[in-house]
Amino acid sequence: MSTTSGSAHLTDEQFAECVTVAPSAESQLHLDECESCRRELAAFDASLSAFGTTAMAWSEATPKVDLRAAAKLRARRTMERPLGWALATAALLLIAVPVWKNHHGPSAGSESAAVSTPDDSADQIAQDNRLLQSVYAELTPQDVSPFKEYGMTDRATSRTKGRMGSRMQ
Amino acid sequence: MIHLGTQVTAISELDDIDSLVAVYWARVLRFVTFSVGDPDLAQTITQDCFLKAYNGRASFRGECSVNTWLIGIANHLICDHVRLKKFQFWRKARATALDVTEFASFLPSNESSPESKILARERMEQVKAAVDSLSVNQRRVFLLKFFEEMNVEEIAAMTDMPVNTVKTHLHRGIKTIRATLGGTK
Ligand SMILES: [Zn+2]
Repeated sequence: MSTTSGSAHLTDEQFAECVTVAPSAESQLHLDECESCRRELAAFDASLSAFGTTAMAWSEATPKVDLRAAAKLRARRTMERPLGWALATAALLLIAVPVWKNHHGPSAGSESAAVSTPDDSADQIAQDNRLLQSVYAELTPQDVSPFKEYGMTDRATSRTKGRMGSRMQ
Repeated sequence: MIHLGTQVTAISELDDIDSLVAVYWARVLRFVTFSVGDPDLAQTITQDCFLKAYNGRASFRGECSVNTWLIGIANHLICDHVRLKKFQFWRKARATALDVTEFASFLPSNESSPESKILARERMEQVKAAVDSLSVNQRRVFLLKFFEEMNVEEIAAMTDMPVNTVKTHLHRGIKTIRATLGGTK
């Protein structure tokens, strides 16, 4: 497509400049003479504006979260988690004790020995905890925040606050 | 310069979590969803954002609008996800990309004929697909400009990026959308 001035149309760089800041003198000169580029700019603005409006309509149609309830649920989760771990550990022991007994046969004082099996190393405990944590996450996928899951909530909050504080001067 | 009146209004606004959600939720969710491309993850991040904002409302000094403040917090939460490569983890676990056709169905209908309505929807699908093709960082910058109507300097301040990097991201995004929409050539 040719322009009335015969010059090339706006380059991507010039076009972006027009959209983000303002047309340079050279771009403005071209725009004054080229209806095609004026139309393209207008169509671009209209499309982006429609994109924003559509996205907003989608967002508004999405059910809002009851934050009050979510905050309470999180607080309860945090309180309940130690109980969950205790129950899970108890369940593991219930499995571990008979297995250990089968391996080692009945003997005096086996109950107390079962509590500290040879596998009770720090590595083993860490591995079990990771496994339990992943099971826990699988069981409650709908509201486990990745931040909560990784125990990052507090750090993320203070970091965000700190950064925001310095940025919004 | 802090205007005391504005600050007092904003702080009392922040005290009511329900009205905070009522007024700002959709806008923050829009920014987060279209930045991360995953509505489920976006819900989680937006929820984190509002809880953080509410818990940290005492630190809001009224130097920007409540909306900008919330978008800033959301932006940092998105960054944390990117930095920690949580995206890949989350995507593998539950990839729920926003369906492009479903998205386009939300286009407000100003078109007179069914044909022009279909054309407008198709254009919306193309723009959405083009935005999706950008990197998360390009998209964040692009949406701060076109959703939040921030200028290059404001985006640079919010994202901790040099002005030139913001410009590069923006130009890349605009070039992609321009090519999608057909261009002049
Ligand atoms: Zn032209």
